Amino acid sequence: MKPLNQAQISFASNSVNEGFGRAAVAAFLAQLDPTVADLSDMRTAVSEAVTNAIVHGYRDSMGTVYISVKIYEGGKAVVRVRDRGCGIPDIPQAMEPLFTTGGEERAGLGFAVMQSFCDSVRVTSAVGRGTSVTLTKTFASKA
Amino acid sequence: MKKTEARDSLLQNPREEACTMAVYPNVERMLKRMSVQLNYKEGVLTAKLTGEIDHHSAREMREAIDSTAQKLKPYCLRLDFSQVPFMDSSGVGLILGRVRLCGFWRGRVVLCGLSANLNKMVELAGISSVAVIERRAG
Repeated sequence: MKPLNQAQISFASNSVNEGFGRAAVAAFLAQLDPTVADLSDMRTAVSEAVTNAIVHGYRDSMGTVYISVKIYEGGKAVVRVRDRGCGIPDIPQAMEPLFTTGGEERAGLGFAVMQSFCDSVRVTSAVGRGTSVTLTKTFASKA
Repeated sequence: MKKTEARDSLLQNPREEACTMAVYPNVERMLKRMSVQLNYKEGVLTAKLTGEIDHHSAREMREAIDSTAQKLKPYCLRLDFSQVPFMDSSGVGLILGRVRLCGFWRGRVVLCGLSANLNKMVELAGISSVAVIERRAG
């Protein structure tokens, strides 16, 4: 299926850019005329994925976070957040709620939030090469 | 104190008394951007949080709350979210970290001013088992 519209943004892995990443995706998805709740959910899910790339992927390095967002027929949106960081050795373990490699102030809920707020979450990763998280959500237009 | 020195000093010590800095207009603007306003009365420390809470902003909020909370050891730490339009799971980490901190002196944490979307996050994280959630009447 060909996307009706798409956008790509990339930015340095500075934590101050977490807000920019989620705002950019939300701004692009506004054209779907989504409900406030749906857009807020997607904004939160993207924030989790971008934060993971910055906090974990680029934990010991600086790099670029790549976001691509595509819109398909029927209000379906696919957002892919990619990094070229350290990668995840055990994906099922990483996706377990409350599991975190991040220390005391990390809740370990990033993936749980993404799965709860989106229709589906797909994670691919290679240690030393990077990680890609694909979020899919269909937005019902306001009646 | 020169204007630039006052500004630098504030950046290093965000908890300097506001009145000494109010003379300098640049510094006053910076104070208004501070993400936490603290208020202490009769054993209750209220932290009014403003702005979006993510991994980046949670760090500054944590430092602002902890330095005062550790000195005062309040029996109740109230986190006011009424000026918080967005929060991801870093906000959950912020809350749980404060619950852990107050636990050292058997203080409790109360959350208030949660909007519908913030409440969704709080429910998902199961925070109601470790902190009291104040709900607005009606």
